[in-house]
Amino acid sequence: MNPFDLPGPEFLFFFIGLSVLAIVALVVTRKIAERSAAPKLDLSDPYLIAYLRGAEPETLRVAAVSLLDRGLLVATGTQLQASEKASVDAVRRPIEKELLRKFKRADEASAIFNDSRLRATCKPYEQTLKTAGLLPSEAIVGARWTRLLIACGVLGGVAIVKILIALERGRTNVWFLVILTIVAIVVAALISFPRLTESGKTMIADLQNLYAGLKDRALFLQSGGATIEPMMLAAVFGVGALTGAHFGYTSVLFPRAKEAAAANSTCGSSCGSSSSCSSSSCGSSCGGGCGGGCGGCGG
Amino acid sequence: MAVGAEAVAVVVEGEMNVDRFGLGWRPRLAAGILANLDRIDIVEVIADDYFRAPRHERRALQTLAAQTPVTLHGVSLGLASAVPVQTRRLDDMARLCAAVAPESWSEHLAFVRGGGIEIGHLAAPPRTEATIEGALANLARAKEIVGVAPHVENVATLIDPPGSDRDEAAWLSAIIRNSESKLLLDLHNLHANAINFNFNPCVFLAKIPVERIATIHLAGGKWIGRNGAQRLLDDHLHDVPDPVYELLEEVAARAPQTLTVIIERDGKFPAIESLLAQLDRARQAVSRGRARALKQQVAA
Repeated sequence: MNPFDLPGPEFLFFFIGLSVLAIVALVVTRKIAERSAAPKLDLSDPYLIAYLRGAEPETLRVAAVSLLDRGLLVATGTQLQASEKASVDAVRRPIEKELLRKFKRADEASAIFNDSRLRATCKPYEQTLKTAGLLPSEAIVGARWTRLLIACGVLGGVAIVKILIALERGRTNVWFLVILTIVAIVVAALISFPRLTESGKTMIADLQNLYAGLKDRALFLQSGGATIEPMMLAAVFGVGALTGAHFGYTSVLFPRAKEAAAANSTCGSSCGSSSSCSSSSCGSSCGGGCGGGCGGCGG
Repeated sequence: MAVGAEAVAVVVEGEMNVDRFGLGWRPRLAAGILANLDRIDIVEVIADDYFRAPRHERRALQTLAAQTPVTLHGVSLGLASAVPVQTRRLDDMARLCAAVAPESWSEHLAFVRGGGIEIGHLAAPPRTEATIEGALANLARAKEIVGVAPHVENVATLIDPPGSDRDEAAWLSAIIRNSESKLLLDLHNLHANAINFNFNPCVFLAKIPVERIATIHLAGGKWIGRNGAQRLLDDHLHDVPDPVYELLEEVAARAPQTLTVIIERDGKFPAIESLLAQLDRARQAVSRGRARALKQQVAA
């Protein structure tokens, strides 16, 4: 059967099927090409993880909350200002130094997202993640373009041949096919360039799995910079995951992050989460710890 | 079905050039451990938590293994038994080893079930020829199926196993000397047994093949029972006590090979800084032991 001989409506169905196939092929080949073993990352740096999860906005939010938690920034309503004790020399990371400079005078917290100097301090994180294969490098972007152009070439080629045949046969009702082709190409382009590589997506999911116990204790995390736990929680799950009373200011400063976290937690609870027995109770080397703690561990 | 062939090449005994110090991986400690990998050389993961875990949890474990050396620790095989270990359980371990490629894996010289009943505890078996032979047979099967022999751990016990015809050191030595397994010496178990059964742990160390020790466990416990009949319970809920560090120094002085030292903590978790401080104390104890051995060598 020659598909180009199909009458108009049947050919449109054929073309829709071809488009779906091309888009699925694009997704599958991208996932396969961009999948690799987990790289070694500096997991002591919450800003690196925050960048992986949500680029500059998330990194800047986490950095601002970190400075607030340590008392180097002070929040008044929706505004931030460096505290009296804050000194640029007292912090070591460029992003923190730049935040303290920015808030030497009080300003809206949301101003961090439009500050080019602040955004520039995130560049090293981007580069590190590209090198690790978690964000698309130039080579990966090039490969994505190649795959997209092949898919567009196939879809466009088939559409053009059919249009030429139709015109040759004196039929001019080709607009449905033109629109369908444009829609297919736009969809193909949209799904071809996700922010993360497949490895990056996997890394975030794995980190969220490894830190699941931390999320369970979100309400009880200590504030005041005593531990790195609140910042790791914010980095891995978002600032909105800081649900403890000490971090109430985050919902005023960054309401969108809070809303996103609330939406995620609703989904999380309805979808079910890992059972507590997979954590400390059965995670113990006591082995039978779930049933016979009174006998001690012995192991 | 045994899956040993797939697993043979993936459990790689690490090329250990220096003593290493690590923590038992517990979800509650995740943030602290991952943020301090510059001070933690290795993490020990409870293998049984992942035998039936969904794919995404196993993948997360692989990601953890990409960040730091991982060793797997089993708690349910029941190696020290006249009853053969179930192939299904060894297959689980083999699959996990194949997926994670740990540096080593370990299990207890304990029995955990009998007649199909799980006793929910790592119990010390009668120290007899029969349990030695049973353990040796189980270790051989474990090696065959997983691909690498496990390091085997001495257990703590609150009762002297009835029916025993030899002491723990003789029983343990017979198993270690007649198998390919290395010894995972739990020093708090040794300390607790020494107190509860009134023997000198240094004499114990003198009797066992210390050159076969590969890994050391440190943990804490608590006193139980009334005055006059107190016993020390190994509960992994307390800090490592001083006598255990002294034993660690003793082992380091006697065992010239490189050692991996793991602190186990299963609950009442302190701040990560406290655990790191205990790791530092362990480092110091090993250094002192090494220095002592060197001094003795020079003097000789």
